Amino acid sequence: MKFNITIKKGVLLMLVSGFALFFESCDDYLEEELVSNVAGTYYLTESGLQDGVEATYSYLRFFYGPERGFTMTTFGTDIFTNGSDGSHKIFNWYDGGLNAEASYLRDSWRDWYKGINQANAVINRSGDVEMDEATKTRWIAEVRWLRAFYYFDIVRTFGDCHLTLEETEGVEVEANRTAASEVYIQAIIPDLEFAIANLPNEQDDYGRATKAAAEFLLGKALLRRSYTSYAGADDASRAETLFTNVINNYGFELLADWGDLWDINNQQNSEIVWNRVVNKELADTEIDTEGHRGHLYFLMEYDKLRGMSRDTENGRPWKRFRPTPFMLSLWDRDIDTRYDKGFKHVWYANNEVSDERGNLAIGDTALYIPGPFREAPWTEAAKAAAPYMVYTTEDYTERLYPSVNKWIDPTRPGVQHEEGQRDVVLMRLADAYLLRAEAKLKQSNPGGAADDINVVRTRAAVPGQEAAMQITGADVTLDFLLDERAREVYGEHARWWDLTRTGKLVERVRLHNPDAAGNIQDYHVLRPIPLDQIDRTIGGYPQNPGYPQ
Amino acid sequence: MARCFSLLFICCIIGINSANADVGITKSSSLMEELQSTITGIVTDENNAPLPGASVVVKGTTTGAVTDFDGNYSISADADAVLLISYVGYQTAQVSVNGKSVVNVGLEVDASQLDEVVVVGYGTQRKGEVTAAISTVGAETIEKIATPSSVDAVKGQIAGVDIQSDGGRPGQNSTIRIRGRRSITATNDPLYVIDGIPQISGNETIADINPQDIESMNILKDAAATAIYGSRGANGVVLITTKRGRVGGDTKVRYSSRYGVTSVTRTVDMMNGVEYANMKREANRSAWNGTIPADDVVFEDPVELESIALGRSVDYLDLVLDAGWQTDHQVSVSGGSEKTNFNTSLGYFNEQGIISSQDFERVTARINLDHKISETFKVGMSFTTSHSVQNWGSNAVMSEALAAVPLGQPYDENGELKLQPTNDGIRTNPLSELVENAYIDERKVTRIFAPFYLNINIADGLKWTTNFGPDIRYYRRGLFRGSETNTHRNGPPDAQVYNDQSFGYTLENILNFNKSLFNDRHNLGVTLLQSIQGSREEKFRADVQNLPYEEQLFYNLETAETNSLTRSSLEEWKLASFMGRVNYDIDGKYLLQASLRADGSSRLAPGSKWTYFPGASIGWRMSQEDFLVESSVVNDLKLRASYGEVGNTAIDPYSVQGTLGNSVYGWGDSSALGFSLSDIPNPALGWEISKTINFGVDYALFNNRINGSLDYYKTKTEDLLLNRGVPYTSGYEDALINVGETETTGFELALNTSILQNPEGFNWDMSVNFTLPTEQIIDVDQRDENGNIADDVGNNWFIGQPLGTFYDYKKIGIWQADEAAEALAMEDKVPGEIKLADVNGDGVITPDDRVIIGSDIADYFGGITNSFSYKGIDLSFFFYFKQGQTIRSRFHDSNNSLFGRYNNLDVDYWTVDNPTNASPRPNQNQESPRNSSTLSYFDGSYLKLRNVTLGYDFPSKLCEKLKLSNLRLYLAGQNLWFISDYDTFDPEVSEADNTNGDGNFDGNGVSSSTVPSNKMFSVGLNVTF
Repeated sequence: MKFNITIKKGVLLMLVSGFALFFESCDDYLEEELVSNVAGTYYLTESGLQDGVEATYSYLRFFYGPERGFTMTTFGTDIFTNGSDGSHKIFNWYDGGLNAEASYLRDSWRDWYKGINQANAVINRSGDVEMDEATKTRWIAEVRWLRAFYYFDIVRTFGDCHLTLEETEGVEVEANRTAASEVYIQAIIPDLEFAIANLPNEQDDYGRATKAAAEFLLGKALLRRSYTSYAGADDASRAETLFTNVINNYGFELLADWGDLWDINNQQNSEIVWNRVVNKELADTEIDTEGHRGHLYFLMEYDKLRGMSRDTENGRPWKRFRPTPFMLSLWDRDIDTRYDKGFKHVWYANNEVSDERGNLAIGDTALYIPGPFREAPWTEAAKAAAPYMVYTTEDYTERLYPSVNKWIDPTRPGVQHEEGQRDVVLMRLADAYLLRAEAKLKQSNPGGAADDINVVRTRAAVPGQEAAMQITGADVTLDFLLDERAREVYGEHARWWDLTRTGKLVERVRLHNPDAAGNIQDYHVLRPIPLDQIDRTIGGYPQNPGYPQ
Repeated sequence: MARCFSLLFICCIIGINSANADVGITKSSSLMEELQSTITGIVTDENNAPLPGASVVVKGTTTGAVTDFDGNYSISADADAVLLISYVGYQTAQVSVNGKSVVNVGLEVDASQLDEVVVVGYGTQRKGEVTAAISTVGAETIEKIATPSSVDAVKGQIAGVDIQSDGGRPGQNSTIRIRGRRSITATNDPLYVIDGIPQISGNETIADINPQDIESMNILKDAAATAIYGSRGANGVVLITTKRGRVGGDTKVRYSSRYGVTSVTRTVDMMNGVEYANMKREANRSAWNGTIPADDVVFEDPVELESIALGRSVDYLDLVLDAGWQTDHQVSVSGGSEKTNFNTSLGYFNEQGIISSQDFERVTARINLDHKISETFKVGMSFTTSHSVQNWGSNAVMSEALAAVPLGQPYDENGELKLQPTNDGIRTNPLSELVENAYIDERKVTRIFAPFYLNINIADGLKWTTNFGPDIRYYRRGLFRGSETNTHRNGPPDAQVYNDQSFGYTLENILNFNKSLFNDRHNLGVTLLQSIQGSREEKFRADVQNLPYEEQLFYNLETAETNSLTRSSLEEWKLASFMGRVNYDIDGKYLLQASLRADGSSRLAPGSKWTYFPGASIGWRMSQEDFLVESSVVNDLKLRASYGEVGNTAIDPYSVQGTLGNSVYGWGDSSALGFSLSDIPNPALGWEISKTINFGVDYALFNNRINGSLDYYKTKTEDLLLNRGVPYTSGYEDALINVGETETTGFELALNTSILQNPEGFNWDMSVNFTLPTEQIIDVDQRDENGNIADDVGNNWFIGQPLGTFYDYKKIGIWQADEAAEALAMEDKVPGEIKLADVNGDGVITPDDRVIIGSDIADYFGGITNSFSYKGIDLSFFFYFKQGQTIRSRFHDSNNSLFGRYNNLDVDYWTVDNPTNASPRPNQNQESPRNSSTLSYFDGSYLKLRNVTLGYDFPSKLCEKLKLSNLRLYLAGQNLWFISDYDTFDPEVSEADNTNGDGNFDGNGVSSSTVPSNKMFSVGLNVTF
């Protein structure tokens, strides 16, 4: 019994001392160690700062590549109207559904401000990072270029907006509304001037911002400002100079054949000033959850037609963007290659068919769309007699229409795969010529504008028809220039902004887009401020004029 | 034979009790011999049969005796003494001697079970002495409901506890809310404690426990009870105790078995071919008052035209919803010797869902073992292992069955399945998902949970306990999606393997001290606890695309053309705690409990890691007072009051540090994966504290024929861990902050009655529970320009409203043909579209016209069980109900879009010839009507018949002949019937959530991929040898 008590005491002592020891080490025990992720202090290292710079680029990919960016720049213009599918036709119609609750507006607003805050953070923290100063300056220049890009996108979409050049620290529930003019003065222009001064002509990584990209962007920003009430006196001339620099200083060259621009194996070509680059491996593996999705939206519903089923080669048709009749009338196909090389004409059977019309073997022509000015031979009788289907204007519907083929991507790993690998074309040399032409026109120099336009037109000519493609200063009006832009850069995230920049949106939509003509109003040149921003801001946030307040 | 054993058992008890009694008598005789006389008598049971082994004690003394074989006792006591006569399973009787020398006592069966032991966390208490709000559910109740989930088994049966399941997928977990919600962002899940060990991962861990292994489930509701669990007690605590062997009993073998057939409880009214065709024609009308094109324009798919011509229509729901079944088997062996007792069990559950690709199978094994090394040392463990396999099935089965156009054809002319029943590229055949190995989503869980304890009786009344509870859980998901599925539509297959290994442990040292003071009138209990707990979770996931051949499923990932995602992560957290508790009572009449717990959590900011959680409760057992002690009406009456504080730290680890997110970009040939800002660091992140007061009454009246409890509580939760959606201009979507306050209150009633009580004849028992909850936001740190507390509209947080509030425009009808001008002016709409209320009367619809539509919180809910028995036959019905909650139906978002492209709920829609105000005009130009969310709010109230059981216990004579101690057969029906305005598969839906902080409550309601809930008829058998 005594022995037993001793044991008891021993055990007790042991436990009590364990207890006491534990007290001592409590603080260590509760320390939190981050292993599989990193905290914000990581930015204070060189590799951390580099990752922060790359993160700043990443906000480009939510607008440029997915449906959102295509929708907001393609719908509701004079050259595209809606196909049968999709839930964002409000952007085409300008009806009551285009209001503060539209998810695309919320998402764009959000992602652009995230990009801006990311840029602000990199700039803010870079001061404490010990590293090679030249590299650091180059990174800051890239980041400021991106910040200007995001502010430019916000200003040209929403107008007056919140402006901050400081990183958000802590919970920020207030927001300012700064005049668009100030956003140019305080953010876009100084950022791009810094970028021009500090970016190299070439970068080791393809897709990083370059000096040319900065000049291109500043040129575009100044050109836009030149149309506004707060234009600087020399905006147009500075823009012209900047585009001249882009055209002359870096060795960019137009591709000889306009059609080669859309060759998926030739994306990094001499005409590209700067692209939002998509990495094929990341897109295929869906690590890049966005990719370039332009291959989905411009296609008609070929896959229900005789002899056809959906395949990777022909694409996954989402039937979003349908050319307006006006657009289809823009090219003189006898001399201009840009309809023929940017649209699809023939579909070849991928299903064997045997029916009253005849037999179709795989590879036979299943469908032919002759397209504008080529329909004369196709009488009803001729169409009925053809062994394949022929669609002419009267057959066009919201499901069946000439399809833009610029972004088709047969290299995707599967027919359902949405993340295409194409780079998003945003700045190319031909566009620089057209923009310089516009800057010249703005300075009442139609002759100079005609010279630039002719460069673009000459390259686009049907071989032997170069002379026929030439225009003169007398031909150049703002409307002609917009027509030319439609012929050249259709589907390249440009149109809605081209029209709002030049003040032609409402006029041209009423003329050429029958689905939108009845609804569009002057206030539609700016998008409504997202409702979440209004609801979440202390004291609210002002809505743009015209929309339900 | 059985009688033989029970005699033996009784002898044992007599032996033990006699020994005690001898001591008592010796003691008292030396002190008070002269004043006392000898009193004798006989103690009988409810049938007037003598009760051997009953204990007789002179109240206020330690003098006692035990009845002999014939129920006789003899004891020395004062002429004015009061005798306490007790026997296990019977109510303790108090009888005054009043100068008599013969006192005969008849004991009554204890219906109120006041002496039942209640597990209260780090110890047990007798029910009569409990001063906190605790609900107890015993094994009988749990076993009655046929379900693999122990939580589901008590649904609707406990006041203040709301359990909601979301559809009928086999193996699905339910949501459990104890006294509502307090937290907007942090979890509202309760803490589960199994055999003393707090579980590390909430609802999931409970799914691994076989309900039939459960001895009792105790639900700690008020903060005085949960404060001893401090940082994790804010949402209530569910204490689960598993069955253990009994010391000295004979070995019992129990086998129970059940088989049931299941089918959909209710299906929904989708359009048939004719109805769909009419809707599609209307959708193609050129404008609201335009013309409808010819059929060959409206229906561009020949198969649709053919179906219309033939009058053909496919009911896809009918094709995919099948009969399912459930089976449940359990064998348990329990027993013990003087030193060792054990309970082992083996359970097998298998359910085939009502969709053929879904099933759930689980094997559980348990060994509970207790061994006395000596009078001082005792060790034991509860070893549980379980393995379950759930085939989740493809969500597209339901969503495609609902959306598929009834004019399509699921089979071709050869009887082969068509992947696309129409030529619509989006829609695929729901039956294709059900083809064997076309789509596999297999989720396996293996768990080993093995708490071990050591008890040391250091001295009389002083006990040391060390618990160590390792908890190992391994989860594997294998996903394979073949070519002919909705995901790939003939594209190449893909696969994913996901592994999640977690290891958790709890180490506790508990010191218990119990002492009776001052002539045993005062009882003191002290508990001291030191505990540490930790969890380490490793996750790994690999995704591949373009598998070369389908037969490999997800077992040969390396052959894939594209090895895409590989991810891994590590998450660790730790908790350290100290707790002290004092229980004190005087005469069992005046009860006091006070506790203090200190908790440190690794998840919170340095400097804010530690905090204290006090709790205190008092009780007054009025029924023990002289003026009630002999009342024939009041058998038990106890008033309780308590206050406590508890915390919530269930935020994601590492929130304090503000982790960076992965960013994705690419250069031409290389990737540019970076790190982007994602969480705003919050170095001050601290505890969310809930403070609760609780008032309660426990009562037992009229010979315990009416008993139960009534509680009122009020909880204030402060310093909410709030994930607030912030203005996007800040560059963030949301931020985790420590602000704001919520308040929940409630009344809870539990009532058990024996309406008819005839031991030989007809019995009728009824039990009712009822809860009146409220939930409101007091403050979310939003101020208006005058500095007053304001709503946070952007986050859907409204002062004075529940946490889950729906804020939207209000539909008042449909714009009619003669209102075209008004429709255009007010809403930019045309006739046939949804007409909204112009709340502020300014003539246009703007965001200011949004109003609070409702909330997902019920006005009240509860359950009613009626049990009848006559001899060996018993019959019970269990209903439960929930009234006043609003459903924001995701199901209607998907299936009432009136788009004209997919099938639709068979609603009354507007046409120029049908000027209804119910649903808008179908329109093929709108994927869903403008303001379609206003069509999806429903009164979610319901009344459900949860269970009907008809059972028969074979007479003991027959059992004896069969050498059984018990044999029971029963028939049961489950979820047989409900009534509700929410006309879908089931009104019982998950709660609305806004956890992503985007200001939009994602809706609750059934969604398109919800598996319909099912009803079941089953037959079962219990045998004990």
